[in-house]
Amino acid sequence: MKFWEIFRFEFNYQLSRPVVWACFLLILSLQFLIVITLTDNVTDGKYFLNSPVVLGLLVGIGSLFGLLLAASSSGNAAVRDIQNNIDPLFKTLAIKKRTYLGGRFIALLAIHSIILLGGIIVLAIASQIPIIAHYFASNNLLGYLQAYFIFGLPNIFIFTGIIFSVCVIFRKGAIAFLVAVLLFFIAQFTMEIIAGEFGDWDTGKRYDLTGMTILRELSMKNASGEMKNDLIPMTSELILNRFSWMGLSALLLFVAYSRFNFKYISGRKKSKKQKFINTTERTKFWHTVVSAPVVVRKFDKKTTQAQFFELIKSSYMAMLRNMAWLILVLMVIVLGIWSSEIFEGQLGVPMIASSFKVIELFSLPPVKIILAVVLTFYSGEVIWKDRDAGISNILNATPIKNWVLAFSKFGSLFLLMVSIQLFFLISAIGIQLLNENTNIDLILMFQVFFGFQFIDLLLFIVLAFAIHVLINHKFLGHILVITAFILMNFPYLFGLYHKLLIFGAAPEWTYTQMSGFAPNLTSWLWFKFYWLLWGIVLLGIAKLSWVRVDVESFKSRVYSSLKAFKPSLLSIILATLLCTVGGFIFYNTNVLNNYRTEDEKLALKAAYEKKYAAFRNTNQPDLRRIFIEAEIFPETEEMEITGKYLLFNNSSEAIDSLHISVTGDNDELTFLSNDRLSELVNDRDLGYRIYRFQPALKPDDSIEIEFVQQFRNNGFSNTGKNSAIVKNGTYFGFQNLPWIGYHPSKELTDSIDRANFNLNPQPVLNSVFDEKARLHFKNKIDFEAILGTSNGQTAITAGELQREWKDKGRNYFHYKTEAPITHNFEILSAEYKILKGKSKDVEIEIYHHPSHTANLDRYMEGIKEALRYFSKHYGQYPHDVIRMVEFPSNGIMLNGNPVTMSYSEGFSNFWPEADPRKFDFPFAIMGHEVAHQWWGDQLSPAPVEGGGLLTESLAWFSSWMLIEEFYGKEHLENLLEIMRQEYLTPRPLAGVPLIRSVDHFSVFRRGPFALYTLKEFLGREKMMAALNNLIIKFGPEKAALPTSLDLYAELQTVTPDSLQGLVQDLFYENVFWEFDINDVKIDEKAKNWMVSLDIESHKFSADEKGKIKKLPLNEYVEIALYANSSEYEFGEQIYLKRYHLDAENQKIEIVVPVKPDGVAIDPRRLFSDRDLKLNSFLLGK
Amino acid sequence: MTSVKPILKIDNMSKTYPNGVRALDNISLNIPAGMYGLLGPNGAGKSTLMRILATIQEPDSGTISFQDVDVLKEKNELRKTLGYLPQAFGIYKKVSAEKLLHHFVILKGIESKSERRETVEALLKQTNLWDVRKQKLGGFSGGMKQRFGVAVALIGTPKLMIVDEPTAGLDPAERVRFLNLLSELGENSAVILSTHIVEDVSELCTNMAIINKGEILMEAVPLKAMENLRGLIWRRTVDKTHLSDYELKYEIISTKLLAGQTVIHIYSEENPGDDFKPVEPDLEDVYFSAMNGVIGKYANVRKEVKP
Repeated sequence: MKFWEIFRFEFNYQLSRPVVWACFLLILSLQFLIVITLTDNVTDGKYFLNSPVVLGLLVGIGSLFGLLLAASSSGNAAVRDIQNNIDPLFKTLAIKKRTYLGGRFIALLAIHSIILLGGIIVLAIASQIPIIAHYFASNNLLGYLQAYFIFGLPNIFIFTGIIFSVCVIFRKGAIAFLVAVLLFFIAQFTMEIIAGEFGDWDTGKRYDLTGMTILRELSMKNASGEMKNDLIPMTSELILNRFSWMGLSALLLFVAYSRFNFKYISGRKKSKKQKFINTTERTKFWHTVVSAPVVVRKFDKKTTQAQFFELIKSSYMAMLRNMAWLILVLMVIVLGIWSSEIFEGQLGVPMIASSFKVIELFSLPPVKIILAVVLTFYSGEVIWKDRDAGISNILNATPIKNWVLAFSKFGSLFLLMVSIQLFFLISAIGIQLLNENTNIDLILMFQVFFGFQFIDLLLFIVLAFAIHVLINHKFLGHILVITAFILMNFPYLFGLYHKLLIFGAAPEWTYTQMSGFAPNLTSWLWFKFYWLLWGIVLLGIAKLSWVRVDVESFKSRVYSSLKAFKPSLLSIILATLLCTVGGFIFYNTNVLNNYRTEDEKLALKAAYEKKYAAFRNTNQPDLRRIFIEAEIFPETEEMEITGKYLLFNNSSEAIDSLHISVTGDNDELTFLSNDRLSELVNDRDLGYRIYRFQPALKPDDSIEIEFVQQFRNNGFSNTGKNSAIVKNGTYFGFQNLPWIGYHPSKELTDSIDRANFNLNPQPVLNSVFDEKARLHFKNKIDFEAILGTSNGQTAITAGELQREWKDKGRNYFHYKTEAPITHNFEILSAEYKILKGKSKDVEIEIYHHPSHTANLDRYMEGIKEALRYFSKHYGQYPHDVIRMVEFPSNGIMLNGNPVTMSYSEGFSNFWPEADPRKFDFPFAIMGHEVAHQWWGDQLSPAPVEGGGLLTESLAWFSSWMLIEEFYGKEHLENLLEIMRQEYLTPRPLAGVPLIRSVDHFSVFRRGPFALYTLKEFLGREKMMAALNNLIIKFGPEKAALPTSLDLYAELQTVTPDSLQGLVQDLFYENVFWEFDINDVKIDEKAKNWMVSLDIESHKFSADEKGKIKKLPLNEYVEIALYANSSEYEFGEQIYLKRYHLDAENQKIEIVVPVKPDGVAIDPRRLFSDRDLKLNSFLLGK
Repeated sequence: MTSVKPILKIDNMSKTYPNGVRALDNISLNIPAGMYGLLGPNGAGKSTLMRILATIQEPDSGTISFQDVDVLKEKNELRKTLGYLPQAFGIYKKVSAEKLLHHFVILKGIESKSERRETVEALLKQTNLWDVRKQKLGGFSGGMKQRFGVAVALIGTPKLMIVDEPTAGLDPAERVRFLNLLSELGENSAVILSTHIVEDVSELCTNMAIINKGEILMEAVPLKAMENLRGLIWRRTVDKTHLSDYELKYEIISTKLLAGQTVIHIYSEENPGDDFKPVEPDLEDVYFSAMNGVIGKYANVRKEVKP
């Protein structure tokens, strides 16, 4: 009965708290948002809104954000009695502690369970609404139950149990919030970092706190709707995971239960020493008649100052006593430990810990969130400290001015922020040293930690502070601040785009070593100035509504703060400044630049397609020659290009009109008058022009058109400035110049958006079997350019350098291609240093930022060897020079453009020497990019499916062959082992064969690995011969464009009959193999060892819909034996042989002279096997 | 009324809480220097009045003037010479007594370092906390905490002290010491002491007011009030079962148990006979008489109603 009463009371009490309802609303609206975003997937046919996986996801996310609720109510329920001093009543009630704690805990569980039920009930009801019924399948009760009982209730039990226990154990309510944050990060960590970042899905799933990682994997495997109706598979790992976390929660509850004592809920433990003092004091009489000295109190500026600093000090010290900052220390320690791993680039290759890379650690999303949470927490604490301690009565009656009280609180928060940033700065230096880089850029660190990040944080604490003062409810304040944080970081969720409307927003600042903080620094400063002014307004509001006297309602507070407001000179200046700065920004974003909302941008794209898609196949002349004169003005971030296009009618019909798509600002492009051209259409908004040829351009006739185009920033826009032309590091792509014909890349791509604008699904790439498509033939171009840039900079583009001169203090360069190239070039200009080399007759030039010298020798060697090797196998490189030019960007990007290739600054930071796996990553990448001079530049594939197989796949494969030749097989196997890791990321079975693939994984991994497998069977020579044949047939100056089928044909030609099936499996079908060693026996036989293996094999294919077809086995698969293995790793390979497998179950016996301790089937993973669990065994001692 | 010029004047003050409770109903008071007792039962509006005087609550209407300062408009002027000991207050548990007192010394406007140190030392000695000054406040007993509160209130020898139910949680010995301390204060400034314990007032205060349900029932000098009642209060022991008979016949002002027997005090202008014996009136009799409307604000009203 008592239990029931405690339960009932707690249940009703919690329901009476507005916070509980706020959390409920928050969870519901989050679930609603998720459902909205999932509708895309429904239209794509992947799910229904009530698919079991989706239900699991909804409940899981609901429970994850229920952490807020768990924190608020558990913290409250666990320590409320102490705070309210009601504890003596409970002490004397003779309740058992299990009744007291149990009643409350179960009441919390009950509330959370009901709240979590809300979302799915609403969904179930929604599924019955006729107009949206097509988003739902018929409801499967089991799916609902599964979601609720696998992801819902267990999560609630885990979260509430852990938080409640910790609060009871430490007798502190404030700790709840921090534990909740910690749990949130464990949940994110398993999914985002362990599984997502490191690709270790097994570990991620094992420690998955919420079950979300498991769901994520399921959704990644489900690309085309296999999981539409299926229940979530109840694997043993899922069940084990749920029970182990619940076990931990139960264990903590037990600890809390056994440590709990009614004596302690009072929170007063008296030490013996204090008792002693009490007793002596009792016997003493107060005969000391001392009166306080009569002091003169002064209330002048000095006093005010002293009060201000005393209050700052006391509140700062209180914050330090509250150990929440330990979270930040812990976070920095974690960052330090993981830093080298986080710094790893592609394929886990270590990168140099540059100061900026270290700084970037501190703006990782989890770090930003943790920092925001800690600051939110402290801003609440700082405001509530006195009231929580009960001392505010006394404090508020002391002669302190209101502004001193309010701003001292803010001052201490500010001081805390300064301390945090200082701590971050010192930690950043530590982390950089830890990563063995002593080249510390202190100025940069200072600029970021006490400049950019500082202002962002300052704005945030101003907001947090103002919200907490205004709301005057601690937990509600926390929730609102977090909501504001979400709004500031994901404004588009709320439909906000203009940065004048999003608190604290500004165009993003960037930093690269080449171009510094260009180009957005100015606009960033303007926007932040604007928001700092608002910050002052917020502080003013906070001061006016500072709670000093007891006021009862929000309304009366608003009234009294309005009354307290007196327009002062300061407020007038502030208002004027706000209007001026805001107006100036608006003038830049909306007058000087065209501001368009996201919806307007979409509408424009849709309009472009609706209006001009009719011209998609309109016969247009080919571009045969481009001549440009570009004047680059880095100082003013401007460029003027005068261009000439030579157009040639390659068709058999006369062409009467010329269509031009403009990608940049239409108004800055002028076509010079030409007798034969007259303007028909100049659509400024959509960037489309049509000119009439007079007379029409006859077959084989040609015409030269000439244009002038300006590239400059008019002030700054809502997103800042165009980063193409900057003070140092201009990087300009050919796409920005006028484009002949309709430009499909300007179309809307998102299927939902398209449906919203009544556009048909975007035409997919033409089928590889479409013979007509390969006749979409664009000839190569002759390219010539004269580039002018400022003194000290080198301007570079494609082609051989003809001449170099100075004029009026500017540098000029004249480039011209000796052989035609694909229409693909860039213009770069910066202060470069050049490293020169030579491979036979070809000059090699590497243009790099002066300080980026670490891997130059590797680049040089890679390019040199690649030119030598590929020229030998694929035919002579057709130009006299090859360049690699660095451009500003911290990302890792490389472009294998003809003649002049480019790489981003980020690529310069690789640090292969620190890689224990010992392989030359920059060399491999150079091989890949140089290979593009053939695969992509000389041989450009037809615009059909499978095109990537001819470019990226062949570029990787070529690079591998080069490595095998240059560094040897072992080096290559090291690289492949690492590149294969991407296979571990869960992906669907369903798919198309390689010859039709377009996705990144197929093109960059599956393709080259299939080629490699074939090469292992055929040998390198035959493969190179096949590729050589391909390039001879389709290389330069050839008429038809090749497809993946042509590669397939060449491969078939060099393959013996016995392996034709394999070629087909690898390229023409989507085939999977499964090899398992079911049993291993080792017997000693006459000084030899006999290994008997039980092998089970399967082979099957999957179609686009995921339909599986079993295939007969006829494979040659390697089996390897190892000796001297360690406990975790195979030792030396003592045996490797190919076996013919043609039955599902096969016994194989191998005799070796050494005792083997490891065995593996298909050790080099030449076959695509999705489940590697039974592929290899360490036999142990 | 006292002839002394009031230090603090409260005029027509009213306060109603949003839940409809009328805590103060058009109250006017004149408070002179010395100890001033505000006596009333729980829920009478004492704390509300005290909080308003301590500048941490806003009345709905009315004015307060303190030595010609309009307190409601210029709260900080009063605060500059205000000492306030709230009914319930907390402390920062992890800070030592000395440090927190020093904190308040600064906040109360004592500027010079040496004066601060002297003040802290003197106050800690005066409140007998000197020996435990290094102790964290979290470990203090109720009495120690209360004395610490007094020390804070005493900083800067305030001209106005607001002391809200200070003796509620104290044991008898502590209470006596505490009242001694307060009486010393009353020598130099106005001390307003709110309490529901009559002895607190009778032992200390030179002036008093009785408050109930938001109204001032009576403003008086305790000695005079007791004198005025001389010969009007009678007592006898009665059987509990007959209490209701007496209630009908007499103006009972209080009933209490004395060694297991019920003793009643009645108000009567003539000798009631019936075994009633005259009593030398004490402040409790004044209090209960006022509460029962025999004297004070409602005295005349009652008489008129009576047939």
